[in-house]
Amino acid sequence: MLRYSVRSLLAAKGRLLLTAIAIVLGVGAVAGTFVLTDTAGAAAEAAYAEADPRVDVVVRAAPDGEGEVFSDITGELFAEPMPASVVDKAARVDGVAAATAVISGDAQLLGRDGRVVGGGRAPLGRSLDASFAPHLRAGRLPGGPGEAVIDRRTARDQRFDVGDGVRVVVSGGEAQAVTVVGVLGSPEVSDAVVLVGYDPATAGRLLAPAAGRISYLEIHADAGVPAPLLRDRLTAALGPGYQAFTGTDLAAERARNATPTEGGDTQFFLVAGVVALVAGMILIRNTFTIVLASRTRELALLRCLGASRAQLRRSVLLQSSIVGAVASLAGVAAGVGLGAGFGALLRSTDEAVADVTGTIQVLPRTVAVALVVGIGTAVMSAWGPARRAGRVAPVPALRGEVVAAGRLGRGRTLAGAVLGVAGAGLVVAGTLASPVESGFLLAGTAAITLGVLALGPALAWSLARLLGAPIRRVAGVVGALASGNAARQPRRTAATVLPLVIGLTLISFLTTLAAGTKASAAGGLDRTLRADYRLKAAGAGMHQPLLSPRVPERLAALPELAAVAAFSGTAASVGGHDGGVTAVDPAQLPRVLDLQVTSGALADLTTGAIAVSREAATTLGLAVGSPVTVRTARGARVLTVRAVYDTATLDDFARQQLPLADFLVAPADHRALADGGVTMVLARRRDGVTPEVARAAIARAVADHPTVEIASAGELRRQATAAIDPALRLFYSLLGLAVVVGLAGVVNTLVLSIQERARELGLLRAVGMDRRQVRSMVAWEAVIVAAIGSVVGLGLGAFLGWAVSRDLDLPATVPAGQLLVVAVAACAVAVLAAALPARRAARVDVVRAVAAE
Amino acid sequence: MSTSRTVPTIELAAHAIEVTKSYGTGPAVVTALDRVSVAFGRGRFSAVMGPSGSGKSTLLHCLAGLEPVDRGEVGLDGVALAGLDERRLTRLRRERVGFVFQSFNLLPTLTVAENIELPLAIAGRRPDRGFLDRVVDALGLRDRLLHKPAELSGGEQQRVAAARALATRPAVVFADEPTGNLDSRSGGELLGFLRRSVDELGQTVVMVTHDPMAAAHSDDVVFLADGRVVDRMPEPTAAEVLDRMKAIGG
Repeated sequence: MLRYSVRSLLAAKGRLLLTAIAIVLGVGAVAGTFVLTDTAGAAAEAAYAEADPRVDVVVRAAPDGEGEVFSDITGELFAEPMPASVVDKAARVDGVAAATAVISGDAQLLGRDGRVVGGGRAPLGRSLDASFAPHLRAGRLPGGPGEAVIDRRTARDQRFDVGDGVRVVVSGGEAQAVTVVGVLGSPEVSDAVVLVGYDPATAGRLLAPAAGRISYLEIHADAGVPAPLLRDRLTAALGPGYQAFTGTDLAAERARNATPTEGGDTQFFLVAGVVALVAGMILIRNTFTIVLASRTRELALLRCLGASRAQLRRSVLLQSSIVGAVASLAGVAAGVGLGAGFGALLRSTDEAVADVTGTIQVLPRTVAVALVVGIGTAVMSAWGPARRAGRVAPVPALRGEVVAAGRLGRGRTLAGAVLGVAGAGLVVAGTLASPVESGFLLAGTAAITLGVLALGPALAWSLARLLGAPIRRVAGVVGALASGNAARQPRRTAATVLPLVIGLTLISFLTTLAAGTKASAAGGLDRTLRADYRLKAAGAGMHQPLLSPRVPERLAALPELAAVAAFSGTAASVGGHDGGVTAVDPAQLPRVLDLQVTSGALADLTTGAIAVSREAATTLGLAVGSPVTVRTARGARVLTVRAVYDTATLDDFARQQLPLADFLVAPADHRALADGGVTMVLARRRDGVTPEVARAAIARAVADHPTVEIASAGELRRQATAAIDPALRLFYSLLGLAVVVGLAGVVNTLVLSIQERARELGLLRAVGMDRRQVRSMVAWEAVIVAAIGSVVGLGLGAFLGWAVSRDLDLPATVPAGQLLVVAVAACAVAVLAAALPARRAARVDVVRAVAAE
Repeated sequence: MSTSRTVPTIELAAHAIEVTKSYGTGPAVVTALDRVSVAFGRGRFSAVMGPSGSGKSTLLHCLAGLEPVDRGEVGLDGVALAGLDERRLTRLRRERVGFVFQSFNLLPTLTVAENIELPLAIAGRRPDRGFLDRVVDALGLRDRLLHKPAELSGGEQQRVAAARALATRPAVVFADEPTGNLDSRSGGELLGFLRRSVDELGQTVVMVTHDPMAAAHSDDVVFLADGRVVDRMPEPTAAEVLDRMKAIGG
């Protein structure tokens, strides 16, 4: 039996290879996740754990008495400033050899093209003391004004070298020329940062948050004093409001953060793996079903020769586990490539910090998981076909009397219809209810899913007829034959089309949801934004670099503009909760933003007043007239709530484009609380001035401020609606993969059907059908199957997308045009994919086909 | 015995001259047809007989242009098949040949009416309703037109196949053991119909069979053995055919 199993496996190897690809992809994605995580983890450990920390203890301000360990040097950017007097206080602590003030701030390096370097990398200007000397890759530390040290990656990317003149913009101002005197390569400066390092005096002059204030403290211990002990002493000596960490803690935190275990990227990989495996399961099941159906006589012969049911069953399961094992090993190989490739991609996008340049880590655990997942998937999918193989009745099968069942189970159809209708009813009822009943939605979705699964064959049959009708008209008898063939074995068609349906349902669901999200973002901006232009400094990411205060001043002087509002932001603790506080001139605010005020008035936002978003007001229990304490490292103020505004019409994507926070205060209060400069400027065109003229005037006014980015309202709208595009693209490529796997399944089934129908094809050729007609018949059949998948999948996805959009308060629109494009694309790809089976069909040997008895 | 080279082909529905056809190579080579020359006149019902392996089916396939010959000349309705490419052969079959096979003549997804009109539909030709009605009625298929083949008896299925073969009014209907899977009554009916199509419609029928009763319905019989024409018998009767077959060793 073993020999038989292996031989018959080899006989069907081409077909099984096709389906094994799905397992390879799925296991590859899973293994790739492990490889990437392990490799990056090992690299991070090697980079950070071995390094001797440059400093022993770091002290930062913690206004609330608590704070997180800086995870990265970028964490320094969020450091609340502290008075310079702390340096002396810390230096007096027993065991401190040196306490060094660190001053960090906005310093943006301009590249060779005159634009800000970095894309998604965070700009960081900071003071460098002598302790950095061992980490210099080239040159020396900066010694005075006009000298700077840059990081290794920037030097490499921009081809900047020691001695080169570069330009730097500090806090959004004009560009200053400096000379590169050194290149720094230290684990502290990750690839996610663009560093401009100054000597402490110059940093103090250029970057200091305010006179007499520093960013944080670095402590070197006396020989023999352990860092944890020093940390505890410093904490005790400096009292509340300050927090100390050891250099080792920082290094460990950096290592942890550089390992993408919890990142969305790796989760995406796992989701991709699961989708591919589900598609693979269905494919393998179909393949075994069909292969075994075509071998019914062979199986019957084996039964006649004395093979037991269990033996036949085991034989099939053995075959499937061989397929699973081979595919899993190939999947591990694919995963190694995927992990390495994705790691390289991560590094090139400026976004992430995963370092996978080290040795690729393939742990035994990775291989074990891959094998278990791959073999498990294969065996599970072959279980049903294996049982059926065992049940072959010997004698009738030998006579060839067993024809693959093509009947529709009436009970199954009825149950499916009831479930489907009930599910749809639940979803509609839940969606139209106010507020939306999410429970109904969930239950309804589950019922619809089961219903569609049960209805599968009936749906496949009726849709093949329905969709075949126009094709009959277009393609005549060829179309009629194609639609007849597609409707012929509804169970097989339904099983074949299932992975396609899954993929297309998800695509349609996402597309509908994305359309709602985009409409919501655009609608929110349209309702709220009255300004025509937004200005901010180049740079993305967590930290928004500042604009020079001269930018709003110059804009205010332009006759082409009717209103100019400068926004400054700071992080603060408001009523004990962390939140963003934004300062703006209340006279200018209503001219650039139309905020819906639910109580009070924004005109009352004078000194001593605060406006609160409705969400924050609810959370903090605030109303007009309530006092609330706003606290930063600079100090605290008690402000009175004068207005509550509603930003519910703005979704996150719209809000990201605007300088809005949960709290608005007057500029005078902000100056008392924070050192920060201008984060954004909104400007409105004077009536009668053309957009071209106004924009040109703004561009001229800020021409000497190279970091300023000007965006029109239309561009903001596009940016807001495009914000989900990268995520969408990622999901589309994954789901596209599922669709391609699904289409491979369609091809697989077609090849087998053609084999089964060789005599029919021979007959058709004998009575005068030419090869071209045979090929187009097969292509039409593929189109009908793909169209069935498209109608069911896209329809279901759009329906659920519509329901969930309503649930999420998004404008519920079905992007019919886009879905149509997807359907047409699926059918077109089906035609391409059908080329191989079509050619086979056209090549059928007529004589052998008609003469075979 | 065999017709000479000088036969005026225009009066013949199909002919083969010195046709040789073999399968396989080297020591495994099997000569299916060995310099066979044979001609079938228009408007006649001819039978080809012979024991298993005599090459009778191969002859039929070669005459119908389904298989190329190794040597010799094949003509169909006055057209020499040599040198015709796949497309022209397909068109020739579509327009001038009808087939009735032993079994599996019908496409299960099409109705009886659609099966009958299949060659016309493939060719994109408009059916001649009056003629088709006559054929359908003659075969007693009128109330079966909307059925699927699976709902028909074996005899009915072969009658549908015969109707389809006649639908294009081909130059020749080739029937390959058309009664092989039928009981004697159904077989008799089918043969009776083929006979009538020759007598009443002037159709040409060439039938391969090993059944002397079937051969008795024909106008003349060609006997093949080991890939050669060994005898001919005009106006055959079942008994004479049976005797001749025994003599050949079938």
